[in-house]
This record gives sequence, structure tokens and C-alpha cells, in this order.
Amino acid sequence: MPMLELAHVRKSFGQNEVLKDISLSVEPGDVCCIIGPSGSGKSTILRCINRLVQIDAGTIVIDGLSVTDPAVRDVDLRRRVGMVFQQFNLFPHMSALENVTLGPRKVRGLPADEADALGRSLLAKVGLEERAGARPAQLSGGQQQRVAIARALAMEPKVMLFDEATSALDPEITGEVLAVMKQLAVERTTMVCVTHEMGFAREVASNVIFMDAGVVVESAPPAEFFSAPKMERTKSFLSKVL
Amino acid sequence: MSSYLVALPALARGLGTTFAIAIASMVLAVGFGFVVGTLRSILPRALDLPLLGAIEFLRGIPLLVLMYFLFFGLPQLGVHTSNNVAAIAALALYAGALGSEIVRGAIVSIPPGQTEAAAALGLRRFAILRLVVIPQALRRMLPPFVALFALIVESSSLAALIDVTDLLQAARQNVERDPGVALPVYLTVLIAYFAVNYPVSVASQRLEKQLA
Repeated sequence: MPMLELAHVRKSFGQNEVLKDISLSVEPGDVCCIIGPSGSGKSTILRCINRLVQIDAGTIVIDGLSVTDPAVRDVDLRRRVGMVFQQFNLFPHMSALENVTLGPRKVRGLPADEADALGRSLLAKVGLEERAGARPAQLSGGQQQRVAIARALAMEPKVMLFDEATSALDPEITGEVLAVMKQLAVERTTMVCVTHEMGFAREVASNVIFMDAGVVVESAPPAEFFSAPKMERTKSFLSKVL
Repeated sequence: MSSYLVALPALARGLGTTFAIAIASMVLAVGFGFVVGTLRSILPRALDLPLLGAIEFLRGIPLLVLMYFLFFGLPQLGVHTSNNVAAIAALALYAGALGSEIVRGAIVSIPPGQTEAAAALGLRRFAILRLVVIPQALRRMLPPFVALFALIVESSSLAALIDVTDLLQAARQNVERDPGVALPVYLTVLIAYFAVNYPVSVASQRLEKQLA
């Protein structure tokens, strides 16, 4: 059974239909990379998966929970889905450790000492245990994004969503964030990554999806996707970005 | 000169009353501002409209008229207000309307990404407000709230017109008794208001720079 399955998902903002009949599925432990030009609806897909955006039609099922079922509470859904944002969105009034432990303490209900231990181990995992007491403003962009990844992991989610996690970073520090993401992939974390990092997609993805204008144009394993794309639209996009 | 010195203890008591009224009004205005401003930032448009109307109304009427209404008008409905209570209530409503805008403005100025990140963790709406949005908004509210206190102190002098014996009224009473002291007494009153308000507004500007 797939960990995540979208079927015939539609979403419009006013007159603008940003998702037109999107279907895709992600098996447990797989990494799905979504690429495509800006405005193609990639980020909207991620936001629909954790209900930050409500879909108009279709179904989304995560680990057996239906996103469109009103009986499924936001909190039960969001505990299963970690999200990492392009702009990090760390809480500036909290230390790195407090950012990571907020969810465990307030949503999972862990006692403070257990949450702290979990938080420290996750900061260690992203290579930032010494910066536990630092405020986001005292951290570099790459460090902030690694804290944000630790924060999302602290909910022990079934699926991790990455929304252009490296796009706001200087090119020379995207590597430290991508290294953490690769490590998660090696550990068989189920991931959906909206990304412009073709190297990452080629190396890590189980499946690459090319989106344009609200539709899935092409979907294939990376070896096939990058070396023998079938659709003209995919070929012209790849010729520009590779 | 001697009758000026005689007036000083009364002026000091008046200043005490001015302070007491300003502080009471400030406390109420902050409470009112927080409740209304927070509600306005989260309520859907239809439910926000009555609050918006009430705030616009309070901001669109002169404070003195509001004081007269509460002090002279309400007793005819059987609601008897003392001078001090009417003055404090009018100042609290007037400053509370401004305070609610301070609170609402600070809350809506927090980037939506903060709310989204907190929601993505599974926090509920109220927890997001309490743990993520309001702590950040507080910093932005502090300078304008300090400035609001200076405005309250200044505006509280209108209470003299409904016979509250604040600083201004104490001065008036002394001048009525001995018109010869009008100049030194009113000069003292001017300086006293300035001496209270100037440090407050400097503090507000400093905070603004520090917290920016």
C-alpha cells in the first residue's frame, strides 16, 4: 500500500486552476522529486497534502488517513507529515532547541526532559548540537534550514515534505542541507521534494515528476527521466536547466 | 509668591490624581485593546464588522464629548457614574480603541509563514496565537503602547471639565481663589505634564529602535 496517494486532485484559486487532475503515489521509503517551472503548482501540491490548502476535488490518503475526510482531525494528519519551507519559517523568539521541541511538547505531549533529549539528538543528527541555545537570527541560512528539518522530524512523521528547501540559500551552502536530505533518504524516510536541484533528484529520487501548468507531464525513475524523457515539454525544460 | 507656595501641595495631590486616572485608564485600555485587537485579527469578516464599527465610532468622537455623555448622560438611564469613574471609563474606551488597533496591527504584521509552520506541526489555532504569534507581536506592540500612555496622560486633563480634581483642576481652583498666581501656577502645570510625558515618549522611541 502506498504511503501517500493523490488521485484526481483539483485546486483553483479564484479563476486560476493551479492543480488539474493530479494523481501520484509514493511508496514507503521512496523519495519523490517534483520539478517544473515556477507557477506550475508544485508547492500547492505539498500544501494540499497537509491541509494548509483545502483541495476542491479528488482524494489524498496518507498512511491510510484521508485528507478530505472531515472526521480526520488536522492534528492527526499533521503529526504524520513533516514540512520544510523555502523560507525556513523558524520561530525567531525561540532557541534552536525550543523550535525543535515545540511540537513534541505541545502536540505530542512529551514531558520537557524527553522532548529536550529528542530535540538534542535531532540537532545532533543535522550537525547542530552545539548551537542548541542559539536563536535563528544567530544562525546562517543553511543552519536555520537544518534546524527546520530537525523541527519537522521531531514529530516523527511518516512523510516529509520539502518545499524548495534550498532555494533561499546561497549556492555554496545548499550542500549542507542537501547532505541532510540525502541522509534521510538513505534511512528510507518517505519524502516528497519540490526542488530545482537536478543533481539531488538524479541521485536520490525513486521517482521524478515533471509538472507544468497544473498537470503532471511526465513521471519516471531518474535514470530514465533524465536520459530519455518522452515528452517534448520535459525535454525543453531539461535542456534549459541541465 | 507665598500664595503660589500654598498652591503647591494641592498641585501635587492633583498630579497624583492625574497619575492614578492615567494608570487605571491605561490598564483598562491595554486589556480592552488585547481582547478586541486579538479578536479582530482572527474573526471572519462578518463577525469582525460590529467590532470594526465600534472602534471606528470611538475613534471618530471627541474624548470630551464621550466624557460628558458618560458623566451627564448616563445618569438619566439610571447609571450613576462618579467623576473619576466617568473620566477613567471615557479614557479607557478612547485609548482602548487605539490600543486594539495597535494589537491587531502587530498580530497581522507577523509573517503568515510563522502561522503555517506552527500549523504544519499540528498546533491548534489558539496555541499558534499564544505560543508563536503573540510573543512576537508583543515586541512590536510595546513602543506604540508606551506612546499611548503619554497620550492618555495628556488627554486626562479633559477630566478637569467634569470636575475631577486632577492636576489641571487643582490649578484652576487655586487660580480662582487668587488670580494673581495664574502665571506661575499654569507654568508649573505645563512643566509637570511635560516632565511626565517627555521621558515616556523618549522611552517609546528608544524601544522602537532597540526592538526593530
